[in-house]
Amino acid sequence: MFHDIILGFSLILNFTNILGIIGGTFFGVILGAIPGLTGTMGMALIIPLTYTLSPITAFAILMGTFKGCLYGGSIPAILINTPGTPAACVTIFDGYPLAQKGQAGKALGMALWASVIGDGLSTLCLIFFAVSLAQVALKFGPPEYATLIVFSLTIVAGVSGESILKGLIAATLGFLFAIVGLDPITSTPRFTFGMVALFEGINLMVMLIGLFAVSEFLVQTENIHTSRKQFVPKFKGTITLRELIKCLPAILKGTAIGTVLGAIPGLGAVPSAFLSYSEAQRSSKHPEEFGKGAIEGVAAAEAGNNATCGGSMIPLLALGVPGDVTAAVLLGAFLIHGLTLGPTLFTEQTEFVYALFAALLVAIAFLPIVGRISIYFFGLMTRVPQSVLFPVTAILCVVGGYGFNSSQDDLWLMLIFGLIGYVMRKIDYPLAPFLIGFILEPIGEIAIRQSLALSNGSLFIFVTRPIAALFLGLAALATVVIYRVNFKKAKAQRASKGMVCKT
Amino acid sequence: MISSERRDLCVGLVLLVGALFLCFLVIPFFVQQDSTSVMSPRFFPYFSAAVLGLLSALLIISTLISSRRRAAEEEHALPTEKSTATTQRPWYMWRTWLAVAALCAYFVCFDYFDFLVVTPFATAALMLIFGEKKILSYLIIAPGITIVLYLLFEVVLKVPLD
Repeated sequence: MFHDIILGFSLILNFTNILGIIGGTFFGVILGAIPGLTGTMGMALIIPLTYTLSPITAFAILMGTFKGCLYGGSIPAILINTPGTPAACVTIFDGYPLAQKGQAGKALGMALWASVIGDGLSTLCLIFFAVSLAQVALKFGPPEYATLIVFSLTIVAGVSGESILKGLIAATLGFLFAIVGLDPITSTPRFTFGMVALFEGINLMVMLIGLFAVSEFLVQTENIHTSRKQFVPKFKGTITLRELIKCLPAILKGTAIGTVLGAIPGLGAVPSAFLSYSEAQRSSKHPEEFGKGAIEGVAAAEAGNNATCGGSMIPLLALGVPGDVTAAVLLGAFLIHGLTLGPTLFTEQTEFVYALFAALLVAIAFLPIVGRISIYFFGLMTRVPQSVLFPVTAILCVVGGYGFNSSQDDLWLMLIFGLIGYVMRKIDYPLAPFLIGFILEPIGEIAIRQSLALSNGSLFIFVTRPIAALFLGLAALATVVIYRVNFKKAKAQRASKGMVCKT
Repeated sequence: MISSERRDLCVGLVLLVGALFLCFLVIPFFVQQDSTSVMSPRFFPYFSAAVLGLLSALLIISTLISSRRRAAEEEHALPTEKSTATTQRPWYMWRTWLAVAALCAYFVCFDYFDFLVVTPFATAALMLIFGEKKILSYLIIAPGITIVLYLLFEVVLKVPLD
């Protein structure tokens, strides 16, 4: 294997391939940083440009683009509360508050290093454990997906802030909005009100841009000419080695979660980022700081997000099954270049496979440099006055929202979610649980209904399969822990109020 | 009852009414029934509406309980410790609604006019709402950002904007 790795590096390390990797990474970062443009779109745009190139050079560019996109989404998430890619929505929770405190540089630096470490380690897992991990991923069926989603719902308590009840209400509202569209099993319309535009449901990026970016824009209109200090994200603060080491446990856990979940087809980077964030909060010494600018939150979210890159390549290369939408686009690229994926790829195209691995590692090695340069240029945005920054951001959101389907209906939906987000912020309802409910409902519903179809309506399928039972057990344990923690907190608060009254 | 409690009570009532509205009016008419699958397409909508109703009721009850508890505590508290009503910004912030109106107008005009024609005016309108005072900014930023976005999306990325 080491001989193959060295051979792979020897094939990648030439001027054309290195230039392709650097160019692809820059392109990916820019795409990821523009709300409305996603990694999937970027890969789809780049693929035709690689037709005439050799497969190794073509995939060197594609891998650079893939890496760049995953990281790039964190830049607008931190600077302007707008996720550049869906998975970067979790980075907003602590990244934007850090920027509001004048620590945008620190947040961006941590996002970069967490991305590099998470991505690097998951790529090493891909190189050394691809086939074994793929066999584990094969054991995931609908009951396992369903119980994993149930476990993931316990995240809601962690991101609800002070009121879990409001968080649960927000999550339920997210559930309801996610139901809009055609039923996934029977294709009957649900909450479409006769509008064909809603048959495909509500586009996730349109919802994200509306809920976070447009609502922020509306909130900022209240700050004009008021006594409240206008927020201009000061580009100060750099990440220190000590802070990086302090966040290392969160990064490593996020990497493990992202690698495993990325290898499970159909989940994608968003649930990985959420679970990674939730785990970091649960195990943190200061969980109350999460959501208010905890650097660990940024680290965990980005590590979980970026680690899915290596993870999603595992089923793609080992089994020919894409781990997420972007990997599905990559599958198309493989087919275009005449490469057949699956176990035989490792035996019949060994040179190409290890050249691909080398390209992934080289792209990660260049990511810190590309990332620092990008941070510098995007950081110039922080010097733009609010009266220009927010209107331009709003126009960018409109253009980005329209660019998905060239549909005006998406623009109206974006505005509606902007108003929903604005109202929720005014009445102190957290946005994160809404997002969690919206994202997890489709996956969970399909999984539950498929499971019941398999078991002819019997619920025992969720407890008789070991992995499914494990996730249900973890969900029950998490619920008990959350209840006990909150009960103790409420008791302590009542006790301290009682002492104040007595004195 | 302090204003945040009143607000929570109102929101709880609105959500409870909304949940009932969903259960009895919206779902029966706007979610079709299907008997071919093990779980009906109406299951998750009803489940979500029921959970929303239950949580709303819990919110109303918990708000009433905490309000009474706070009132009872304040009877015994020192005058300085009594909670004061929080001052809330009024909902009808005219700049916010003006911004919403500007965006709506932009969306409508987007359908009838070219991107290159409408976007500079929309950008300028939003900058005006945000209080930009320099005329030069309007003359440079509004058309400048339009051209940049047009080149990026239409020319480079081949994403149609018309």
